[in-house]
Amino acid sequence: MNPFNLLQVSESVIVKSAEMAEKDPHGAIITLVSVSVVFVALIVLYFAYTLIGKFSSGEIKFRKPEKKKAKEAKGAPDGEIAAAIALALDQEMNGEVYAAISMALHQYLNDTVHDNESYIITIKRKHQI
Amino acid sequence: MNTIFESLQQFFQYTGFASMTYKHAIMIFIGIVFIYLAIKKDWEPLLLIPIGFGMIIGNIPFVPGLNIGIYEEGSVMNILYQGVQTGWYPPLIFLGIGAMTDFSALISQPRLMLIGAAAQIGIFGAYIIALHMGFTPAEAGAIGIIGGADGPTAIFLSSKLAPHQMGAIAVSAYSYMALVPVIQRPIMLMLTTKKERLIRMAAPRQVSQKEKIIFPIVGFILTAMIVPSGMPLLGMLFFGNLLKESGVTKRLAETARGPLIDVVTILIGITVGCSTQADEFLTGDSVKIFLLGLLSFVIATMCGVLFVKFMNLFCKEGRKINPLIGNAGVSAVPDAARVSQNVGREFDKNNHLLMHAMAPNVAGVIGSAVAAGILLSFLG
Repeated sequence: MNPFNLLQVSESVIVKSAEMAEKDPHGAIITLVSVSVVFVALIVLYFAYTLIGKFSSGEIKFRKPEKKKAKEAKGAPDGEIAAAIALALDQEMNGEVYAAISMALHQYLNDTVHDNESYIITIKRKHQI
Repeated sequence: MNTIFESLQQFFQYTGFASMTYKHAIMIFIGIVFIYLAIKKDWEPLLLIPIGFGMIIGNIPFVPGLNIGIYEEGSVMNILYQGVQTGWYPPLIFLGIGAMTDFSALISQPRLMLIGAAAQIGIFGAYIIALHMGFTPAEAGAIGIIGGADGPTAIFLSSKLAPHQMGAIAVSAYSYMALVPVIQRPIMLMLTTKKERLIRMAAPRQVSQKEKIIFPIVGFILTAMIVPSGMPLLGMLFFGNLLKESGVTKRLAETARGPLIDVVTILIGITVGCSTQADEFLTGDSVKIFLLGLLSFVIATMCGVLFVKFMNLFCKEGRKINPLIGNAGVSAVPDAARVSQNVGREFDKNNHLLMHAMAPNVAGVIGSAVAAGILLSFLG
């Protein structure tokens, strides 16, 4: 067995290389095409990362639908309904009650009811005697 | 007495001394020089020591048929060499490179990516010259890739296009990678003015974790779609980076950038060194390959620096790029970026170019893998 058998070039390489030697003996075409493709690949990446960077840094923002409109779509009570409830309560009860309910409704509609929890649970070990 | 003498004589025929030629001696000497440079000068020791010792192993003469040579089917060295021959070591190296590389500099300044593209012109400059020196297109492509300054890519491509020249190409690529500071510095100084060397670049912006995770996914899809033949290298590079940046695969990332890349580096170094058997290696073609490799490095560095100067023509004041980072467009990571930093600090001690130079440097890794893919699709 020829010890250098492992170093033989595959058939397709020989064929393609011969074709290229005939079509492009000076290597100008392959150089032009290859350099262009390398540039195109990296220019595409350049645009992609520039865009991602702009989104990430907040230069470009997606417009979020307003919460109020979203709630309207779901049939949630809006400000006018709250005012009507407050007016009805005004006729039925004293001023303090309707003021408290109106405030609660106002806070609910403006999403300010919930506070942000830290999600950190602290456990104090009980001292045992 | 006569029998003893005959036995000794017979044994001597089996020793390396009996078959030793001056070519073997030269190759063993080159191997020792590599080891010396790695230890004394600290030039790419992780590569030069395995390659240097591999050269010594590969050039101990022996009687064929003992099933010990790297080219003898079924021998231990031959089995280890399959990773080089069939091209599955280089993608594993790329996996490790991806897992150890921080692409933040590139993500924060994507425009610097184009420098990495410009430096790849060195590959094709050498390709044209190699064609005119009498190499076939496939051989010229394998030789040209030395200009990418990327050892694994050079091995990957030459194993497909010119396996008979892989030893010379790999040794040439790794030697020049070790010599990056020596080769690039004079070119950088020759092509830049003192004023240009003092340009200070704005600090790159902070990159979010989300961007770092998106980078390998988008990067792979886009580049592999353009050049599917580069998929083994690009896929492993970006996959390794995803392991690093996802934050949930730390163990895998540590394995890829630690034990795995170390094992493959040892195997690739020793087998590539071993493949440089004197009969195959010490030829006129090898000398030409070394010369062309040097030329492609020079062209790549020149193109990188000149392209930055060209980009500066369109940059507003304050956004100009220091052309000393142009050399880093070749993919010798992070050596080329270190050269930018060191040369920059020679002229302004407070001008730190390393972070900026890392952007074209890692773009060069992507660029050389893309270039290898293109050459493979044309010639493979």
